[in-house]
Amino acid sequence: MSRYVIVTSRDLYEYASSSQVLELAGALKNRGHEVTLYLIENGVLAARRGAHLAARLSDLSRAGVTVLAEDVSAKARGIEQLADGVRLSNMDELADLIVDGCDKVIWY
Amino acid sequence: MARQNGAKSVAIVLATGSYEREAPTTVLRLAEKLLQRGVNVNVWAFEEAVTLTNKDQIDHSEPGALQGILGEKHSHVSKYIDMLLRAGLHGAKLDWVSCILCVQERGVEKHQMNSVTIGTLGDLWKFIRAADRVITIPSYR
Amino acid sequence: MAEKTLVIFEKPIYLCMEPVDPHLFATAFGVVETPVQVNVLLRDSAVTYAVERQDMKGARVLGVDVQEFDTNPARVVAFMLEHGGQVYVVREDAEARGIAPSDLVPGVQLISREETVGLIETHDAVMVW
Repeated sequence: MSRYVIVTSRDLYEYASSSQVLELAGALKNRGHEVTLYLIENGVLAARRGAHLAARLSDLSRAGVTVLAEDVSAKARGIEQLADGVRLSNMDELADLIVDGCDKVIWY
Repeated sequence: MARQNGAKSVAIVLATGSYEREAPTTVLRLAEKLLQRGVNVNVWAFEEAVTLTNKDQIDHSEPGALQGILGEKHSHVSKYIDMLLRAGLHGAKLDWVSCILCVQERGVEKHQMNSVTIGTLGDLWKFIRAADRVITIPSYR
Repeated sequence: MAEKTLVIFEKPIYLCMEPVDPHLFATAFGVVETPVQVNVLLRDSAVTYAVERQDMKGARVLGVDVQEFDTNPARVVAFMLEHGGQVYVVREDAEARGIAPSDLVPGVQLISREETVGLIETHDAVMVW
């Protein structure tokens, strides 16, 4: 069992591979790993409550993936309410995850 | 202080410049937090990211017609890099390496800031090998 | 320590004034010159890098070739294979782009999207260019 942090800085609406990032997070979780999906920069756009992609993030959260959205990125983009299952985070928490809270970090 | 069982060194590979991309801002904000945690940070700057450490960057005035909405001027990225390199003198270390191939083809080899090392692809892979965590910021296209 | 690194390409770059995508040759350097074991995953549109017959000669400015050396990504893929790198291509992404297995550089391995998860599990570090 390994701990993964998958950081998504790209807009999940932008690339075909974005859906693969979400699938990867779910697949690693299903294989018994601990997974955090960390949304930063344009990655937070999908986490706005009511966004069409937000449902996928909520699904991942229900499946046991920790889904976090970085506060400065969200605030810059005027996101005031996050989708269910997405928690607001900050750069200190991301640093802690990278240093102590994971075995591998994959940055998209 | 470095956490006992946590990462002690992180390699960050960056290929995008500032001013039309957010990645360098994020890298600098993250590097600060990693240094605070006693983690050594090796940045290998590649492609347009070598321009981040150009000397002689200056604040420019915003166009007059837009100063009401943009302010009078904005800071340049090398100011923040310099701050972090100085912070790295007194605790965990920050090494910033600009790829030699990339500085040469962009004509900025002689224009890199002090305390930036001009390095090679060999350095990149040595950083990666030695790192506890590797963060590569993708270049969007 | 990242002894075994997976390098993922998703979007291709052509004719950028470097002989090939600089991330691609940086990776090839990792395969050939360093003690790190480097393997490559081509997915999304970067599957095109493994298409065997690519010809980048043809771009000119005022009659002068932009591509001075006759090379292309497939030659770099073949080079990495020769030097012990594994090169994986996502089957579904190749099919979606009309690329048949017979179009590919011999030696690349076609894998499913699902199998890419296993690659991520078995490498110490994952780099997405």
